[in-house]
Amino acid sequence: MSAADPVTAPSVPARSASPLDFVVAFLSSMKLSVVLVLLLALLTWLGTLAQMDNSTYAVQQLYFESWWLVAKLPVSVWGRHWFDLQIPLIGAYPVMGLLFVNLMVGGLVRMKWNVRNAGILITHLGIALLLVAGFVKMHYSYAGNLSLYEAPADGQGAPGRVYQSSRFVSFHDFELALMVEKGDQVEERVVPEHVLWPARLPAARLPKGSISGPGEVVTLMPDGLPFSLEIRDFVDHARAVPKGPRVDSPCESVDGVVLLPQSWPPGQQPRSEAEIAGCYVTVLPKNGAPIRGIVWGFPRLPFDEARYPFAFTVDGVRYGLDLRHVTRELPFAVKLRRFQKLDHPGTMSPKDFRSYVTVVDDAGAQDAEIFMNNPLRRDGFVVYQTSWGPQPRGGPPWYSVFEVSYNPSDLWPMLACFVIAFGLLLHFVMKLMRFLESTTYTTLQKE
Amino acid sequence: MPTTKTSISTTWASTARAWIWLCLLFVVAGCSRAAPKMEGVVLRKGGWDPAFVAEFGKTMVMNEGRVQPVSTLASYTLYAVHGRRDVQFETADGQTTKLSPTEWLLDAWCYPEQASHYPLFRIENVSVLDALGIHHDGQGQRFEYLTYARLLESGEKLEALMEKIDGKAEAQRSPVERHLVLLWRQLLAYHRMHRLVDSLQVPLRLEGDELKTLFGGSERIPLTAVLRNVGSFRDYVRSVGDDFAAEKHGNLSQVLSFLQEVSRTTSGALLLPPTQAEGITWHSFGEVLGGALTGRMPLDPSYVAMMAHLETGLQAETLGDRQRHLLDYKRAVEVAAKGRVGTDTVETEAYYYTANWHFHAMMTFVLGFVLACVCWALPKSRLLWWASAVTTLVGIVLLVVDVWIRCLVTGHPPITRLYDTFLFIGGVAAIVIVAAEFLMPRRILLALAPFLGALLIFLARLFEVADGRDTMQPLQAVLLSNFWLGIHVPTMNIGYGAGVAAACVAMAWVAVRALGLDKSPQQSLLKMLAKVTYGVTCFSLATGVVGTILGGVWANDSWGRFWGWDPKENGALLICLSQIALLHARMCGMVRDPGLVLWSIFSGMIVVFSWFHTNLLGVGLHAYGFSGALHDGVWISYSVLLSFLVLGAIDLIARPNVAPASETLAAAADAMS
Repeated sequence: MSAADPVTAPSVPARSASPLDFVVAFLSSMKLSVVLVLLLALLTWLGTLAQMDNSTYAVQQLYFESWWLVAKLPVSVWGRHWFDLQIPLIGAYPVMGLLFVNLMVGGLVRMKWNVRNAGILITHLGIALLLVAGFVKMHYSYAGNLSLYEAPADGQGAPGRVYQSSRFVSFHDFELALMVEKGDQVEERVVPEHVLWPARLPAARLPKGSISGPGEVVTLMPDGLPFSLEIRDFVDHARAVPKGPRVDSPCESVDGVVLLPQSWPPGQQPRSEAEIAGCYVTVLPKNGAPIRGIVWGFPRLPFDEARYPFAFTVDGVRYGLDLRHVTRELPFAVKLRRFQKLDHPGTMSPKDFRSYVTVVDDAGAQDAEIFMNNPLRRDGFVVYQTSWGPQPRGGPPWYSVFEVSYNPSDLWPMLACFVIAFGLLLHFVMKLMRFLESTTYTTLQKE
Repeated sequence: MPTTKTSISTTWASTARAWIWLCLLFVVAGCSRAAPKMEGVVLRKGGWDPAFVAEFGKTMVMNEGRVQPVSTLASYTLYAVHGRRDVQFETADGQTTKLSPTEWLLDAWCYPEQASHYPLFRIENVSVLDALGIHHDGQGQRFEYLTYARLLESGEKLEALMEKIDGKAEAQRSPVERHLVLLWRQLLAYHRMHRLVDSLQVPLRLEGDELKTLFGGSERIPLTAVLRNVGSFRDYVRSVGDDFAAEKHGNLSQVLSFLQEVSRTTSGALLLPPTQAEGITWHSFGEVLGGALTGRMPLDPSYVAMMAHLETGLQAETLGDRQRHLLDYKRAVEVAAKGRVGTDTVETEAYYYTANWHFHAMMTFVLGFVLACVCWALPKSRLLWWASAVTTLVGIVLLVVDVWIRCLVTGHPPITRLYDTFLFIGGVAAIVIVAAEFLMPRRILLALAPFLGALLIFLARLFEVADGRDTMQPLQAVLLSNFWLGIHVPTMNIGYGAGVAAACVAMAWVAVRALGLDKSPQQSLLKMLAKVTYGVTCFSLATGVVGTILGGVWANDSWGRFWGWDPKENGALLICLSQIALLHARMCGMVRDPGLVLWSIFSGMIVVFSWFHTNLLGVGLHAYGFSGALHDGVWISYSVLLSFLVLGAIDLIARPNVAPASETLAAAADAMS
């Protein structure tokens, strides 16, 4: 039966098996491949269903970038939901890691290197490259937003609008910045978001389904400054609103403003990039009364990059605290010269939207066009057209939203795709040739 | 051994006969449908001339971002409103009438009163009638139809109900509420089509001498007369000033509010081609009228001529006159639109829907299937085998022609919408199985190929009507890349198609085994089917893997990431993973033929999940094919596949051995026959 040709033979060595042989035999076994692939399939399926009530970002972290998880299977038949099953599983991260080892040991190193297997070997190589690309992307890549207003032709920009920038802001990650006024300059000290996570509100005080924490008080001691900071009630998805009689928040109000935890309405998929974090800060000067305030990470781009931090004065020196999306620098600046949006005639649905930009760096300035399916690749960064505004009415004044990503493995999947396609084609053709020459075929044709 | 041979052919013959009877039964059941009654009086004397209907159907309009023939507008409006391809009803004198979509549109435009009494809006639940306060005597049949006139009487009530339902999330709505939402959308669809010309349906009545003198002294004027005299009319209105309600001005205030109302109606299809040199966007009648009255848009004389033709066509005395003027209108639009963006494909599109190649392909496939069944009964006939094979090949060619013309019209590669995938996958599945039959001619695949082809075209047609939306709609910006549309999407769908084919061959394996049809020694038929399943799965995996990665490469260029764990991406990955696991399990002996076959059926369920179900989850960047009509289809497909899976498993457990007792005996039988 040609269907089951023995491509690999992970045979157990005849001589006394050492533990190493056993491990190698296990890692290279095809049965392990089957189990791992099925596990990955199960995770993929559950991770797909989980997106019905979680943001893709959250699902990605929980199912595909974790070591282990408790997966939820909504048992529903013909549109009717019965109950949820909780299934503990190992995450896709170790599964894919093991699969890579299995592929390398069993599918490449220990597989018979002959012409017959050439196609399969090449294919395995391509898949391995794909897995490596995923690994590199997960660990070494980052991405964010860059929004710019269309630069006015006369060069007279409106105050508070950004026309050219080399900074982009992360979609999801926040940081707490402490600004210290030093004469004409401002010194910044930054604390990443995860330091504040112990201050997350407990589940009981949040809407159902929100990310919760122990509700502790996080104390920060800035070096050499005459005060300490206490962080309380960190909320991942919040809005800062004036405290009114109809505002029902688990948090207290400061100067008539309160942080109101938000949740996504049922039936709507959450978008974690649209969630804005906030928390309460108390400044405790070494001598003087405590100062309380709220910091909330509302993004202001494409408007003025100058932020409006929570400002306070201790011992005559001015300080500012700002909760903001993590900001990163590009090695070049992008200026939006013109934005153009074309609709399908007689409708509001866009047929094409593109940005005419100028890229400025030390070497000089260069014009480029960025539109759907045509990003700008430069210095290891890729700039994509993602959105436009103001929506839905449009400009002028128009602004354009770009996604900026840094990914060392950007073009590896394309290479992998060529390799895999070539390998599979080779194998398929060789197999077909063998079949046409085989007796099974000739006898069948005679019947 | 002659006895064995007879028993083989009798089993096969009876299976074939059973199939043919079953098909006939379906055909008869499909044809015998009692037409619902029409309530009002038939005003139109005689039927529309078929030649006129065909010609008028080619009239250009701009709808939802593209120029299309009016027949397309009529068809998809009718599908959305009525859920059927034609309007059928019994008039008071007991005659059954059947109208094509274009004829129905002509009736709604020229004889609105008559058309408003056509039974169109399907009610499947009497509670809907209760909610609307419509009197009824219980449900006579499984469903009944409401007319536009009756539904309009409850329009306000329906609107009030809608406001309440709108606040509820989709999942929280009761069946009756969902039905009401559907009914509301149907009413709006009818309304949009009806309102395109309703201001032109009756003459404008004038009172007051000054007003009448302005328009040559007549008491009733066509609306286009206002356009013709727009300058003097505007001057007159200006001279009147705020005093327009005074008695000496007759019904000027009424006329003005009517004109204002008409000017506001700018939604729906656009009837008037642009006149500026580089113009792309067409104009509605309201826009032109409003522009002329306020003086914001200079009035092009060709518009007046066009609208006059249309207006006379809608109001003329005899049917012949109406037809003549409507054709004049059609030609006037054609002349004005000549050379404009998107107008060059209108002829082809009208031809596409008239020629209906995929329908002919479906019927050819049915014939091929019947021939294959007959071929089972007469196993010795080479002629029948060839007849069936050639018929199926002709069906494939017809289907390819259909898809090719679609590409010419849309200007895109074969698959741009969910609808296209049915045709494409049907074609791929048929081609793959026919190829397998040619490699290993055992007749069973000969029947399977046309069966699958016909089934998928049939489903495409069901989907088209149930969805009720133009299948050639322009694409959103991210998809407008013919390069990627041309390589990623077809590759992916070849993978789906082969996956469907593999699952169907596997189901045939289950059926053949369960019915004991394989009486050959050493079960060569079952072995052959398993081998085909394996081969087709390999092919599906190869195209699926390449297609999925290509999709990632595309996504990396449009959304900034290679892989985003989006439902549609995950679905494609799931198929690949299942097939990879299957092939490796088969290779290392974890499963044998039975396991391979059952697993392939399971992979078929994953194909259904990826192909449709991911669109129903309503999340993700790929969710551009959402439709309620799909929901039941998905679960029916799951059930069919699952029943074969369970049936196969039970059969395997209950009768682990159906092979002849020993190899030698079988070999002996082989030698003797």
